[in-house]
Amino acid sequence: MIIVRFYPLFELPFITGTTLAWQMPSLLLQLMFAIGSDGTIVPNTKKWYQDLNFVVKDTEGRRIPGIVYNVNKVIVYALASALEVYFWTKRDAMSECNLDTFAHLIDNSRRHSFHLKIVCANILSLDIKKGRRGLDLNVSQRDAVDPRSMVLSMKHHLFGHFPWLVRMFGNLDCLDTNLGENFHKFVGKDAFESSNKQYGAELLQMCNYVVKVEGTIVWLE
Amino acid sequence: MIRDHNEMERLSAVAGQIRANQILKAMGQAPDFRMDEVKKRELHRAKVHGLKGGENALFKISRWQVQRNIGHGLPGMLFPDMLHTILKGVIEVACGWALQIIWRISKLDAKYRSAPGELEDRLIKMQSTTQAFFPVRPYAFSRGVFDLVKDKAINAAKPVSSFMLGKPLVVEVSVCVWLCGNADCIGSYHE
Repeated sequence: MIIVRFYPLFELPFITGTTLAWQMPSLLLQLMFAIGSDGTIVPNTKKWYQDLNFVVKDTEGRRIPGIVYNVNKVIVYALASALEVYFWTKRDAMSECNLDTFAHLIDNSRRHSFHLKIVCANILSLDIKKGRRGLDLNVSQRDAVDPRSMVLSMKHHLFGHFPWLVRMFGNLDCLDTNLGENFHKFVGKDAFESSNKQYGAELLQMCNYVVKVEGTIVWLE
Repeated sequence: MIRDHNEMERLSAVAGQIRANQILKAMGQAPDFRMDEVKKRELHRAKVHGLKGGENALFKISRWQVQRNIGHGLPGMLFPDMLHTILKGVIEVACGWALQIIWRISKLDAKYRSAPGELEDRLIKMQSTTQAFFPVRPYAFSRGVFDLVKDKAINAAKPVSSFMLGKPLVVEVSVCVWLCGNADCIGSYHE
């Protein structure tokens, strides 16, 4: 039996179709605990990965067995390390010793993300059509992704500059981009949405909206 | 080298005041103002530090770094961007890759066929309204997590970096009909 329940109009899910940034840490935390380590979500042994027989080429072009990963641990460690960095970015203040620890945690998180990306790339390279008939374990060698050619994204690189930026600009909370984004959302998006969107008339209406909500346009003083 | 923010702010204010007085004197409104060596030195310092008189001293930080060759390239000139680097960067990517792996293993290995459903069941049972892990704010993913990821990303043949962009929930729009404001209805759609 299908039960269709009804939303009030202002709570319809399509209005907020995206995952908001503030929900991300919650997703990370819940995902980490939900995956757990009991091996029901992903394999918690190295044997499952070993049976795939991944090989990589060494510097002389010879095929050698690739690193064997425990998929469950790779995922959980990557999530946990990212979460730990997030906790540290929310500290009220940081001393020099804290910054050293913070730098180590960032390196740790980048390394775990790197392994997660390698595992992800290797598993995604398996043919999904063959998988419908079950995983073919009779393949003697599968080409794995070369770790030397694997790079993380620009965001992972920027991440590594954070300790130096804290020394330069101060604590991270006071320069959080959320402040500017929320400001833009209120002054730009919400205000324009409340105007009649007519060229030449919308600016004054947007100002009126801001004054009505905030009481004054404080940032212009 | 640590930048002295207070000193830069003071310098910016002093330089702004001197410039204003210069203009006022030219207009005949500040006859007592005289440009002495101390004021010239302050203006020179402000210029060396790349400050514009009267403006917020934080605006010129990147130029200040470049002048002294202490900026670590482009990333060193940018403000720390928590939102796009951590929340919508590292965390989103880690979650997305984990979901991609889980989804693909469920397709490959019959033993893990029910893993995505099991994961979503666990997530739904894990809903909490109290903030037990500060600063992580509680949020209930009542429709599961695989719904957050685009189909194109979840079926991709390599790790992708943009996941949670949302999708137009046209199907839900066609099913969900506005009827009433009953709060009990909220959040229980997939049943």
